[in-house]
Amino acid sequence: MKKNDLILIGALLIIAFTILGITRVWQKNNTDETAMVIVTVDGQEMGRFPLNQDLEQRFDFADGSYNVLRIYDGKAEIAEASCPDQICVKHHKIHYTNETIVCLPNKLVVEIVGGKSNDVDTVAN
Amino acid sequence: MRIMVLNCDSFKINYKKMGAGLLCALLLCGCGTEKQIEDKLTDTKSTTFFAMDTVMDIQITGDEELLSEAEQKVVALEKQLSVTEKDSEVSCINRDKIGRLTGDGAKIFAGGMDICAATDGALDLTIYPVLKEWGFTTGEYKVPNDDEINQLLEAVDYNKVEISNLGNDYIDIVLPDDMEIDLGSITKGYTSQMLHDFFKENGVESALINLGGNVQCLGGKLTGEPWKIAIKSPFPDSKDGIIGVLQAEDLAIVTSGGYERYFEEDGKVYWHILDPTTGKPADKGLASVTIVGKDGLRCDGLSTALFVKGLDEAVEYWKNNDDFDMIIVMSNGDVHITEGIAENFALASEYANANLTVETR
Repeated sequence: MKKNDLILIGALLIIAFTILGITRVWQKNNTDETAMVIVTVDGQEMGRFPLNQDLEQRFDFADGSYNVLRIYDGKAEIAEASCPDQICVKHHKIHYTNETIVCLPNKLVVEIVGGKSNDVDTVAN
Repeated sequence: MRIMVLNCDSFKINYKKMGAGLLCALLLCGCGTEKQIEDKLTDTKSTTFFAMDTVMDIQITGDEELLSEAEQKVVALEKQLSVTEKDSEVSCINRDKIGRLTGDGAKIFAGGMDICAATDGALDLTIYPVLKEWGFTTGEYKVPNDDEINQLLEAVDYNKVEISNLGNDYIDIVLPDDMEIDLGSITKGYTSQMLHDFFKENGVESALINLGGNVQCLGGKLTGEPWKIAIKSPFPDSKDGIIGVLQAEDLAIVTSGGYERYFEEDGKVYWHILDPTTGKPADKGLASVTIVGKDGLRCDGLSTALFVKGLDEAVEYWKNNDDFDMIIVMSNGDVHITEGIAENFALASEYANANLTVETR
């Protein structure tokens, strides 16, 4: 091998690793932006919304009950609901991947997918 | 490193090959997150469904068929025992004041009565009529007056449940007039234990069962690490909703606290864990109790009973019983943990400054 070949191989390696590095950083920075809020009712998906766009969306049910999803400042919450116990409304705002808010009376689940991880497997409550 | 193999075989490097090499590098970078790879390797299956008035999350490493069987088992148990299911065994007993609990129902009843006796009635399977009066079973809350409560309390006493006949697979019971039973305080714990055993018998090595916040795990993660179980913060102003994280393998983790179900009236907060002696929300300065142990039903029952008992009596009870550990969060933010799990627990960053006391025997 000539000296130039080695330089070329070296240069290629540097370029390759730089690209690898840039891609990794890019992926890391963008995972949070691709985080989605998925709303299901009794297992049926009713909509998905990016966590980085502010939004208020009302979900109405046949019996007149409802939940209002609010996404604000990169976090999701139930802003308002017709359920008597109001447990979903009192729930803290969520933004980590796999975090959920559940409204039992309406069988509505708000779940974060693809966001930052809080490094826990499940929550005892 | 694989990039080098692609390129260094050639002395006459041309731009096409360089391009190919770069393309490969890009492809390699983009081949997915570690999580996706891990999921493929571990063959993890999960399901989420509504049952027993709560949401259930189960994940196992193993045959998907086992998950649907598990779901059917849960639904069957609910049908058999729910107080809101009109023709359940429990509803029939509550209506007729006499009746039979069979199979799992008999086991749950027996296990529950053991905890009632062991905790001197801090858990009482007959508190249901009072709970109804407060509206905690429907969400239509109200504060009953003292006369109403005292009237209802006369029919609250697990000692007055008469066991008239006891078989291998059933229990016949007789209730006094006005008495009603509810197995809700232990059914989820029994169910998680039942699913744990069912998965284990069928060769599953790793499973995480979460029945509306009642957690039970089988083994650890397939990576060999323990499960990371977050304990919910009982404080409504919590930023991330987690008081701390417990590392666990092959354990049940059950938390009870007033924060789960409560309402406010005239500036006062009332929650759903009632003291069977007063018929009012148990208020010994505790915000939540987490019980960690091998037996799901016992953890479930004790989490309620020791919330009612308060810190001192709970610690006393723990000192006399070596089959569980616990984490108690006080209303003032102090945290007490028993020595058996102290090393496996870490407070969340937002509670890093909380007073943490390790209780020893």
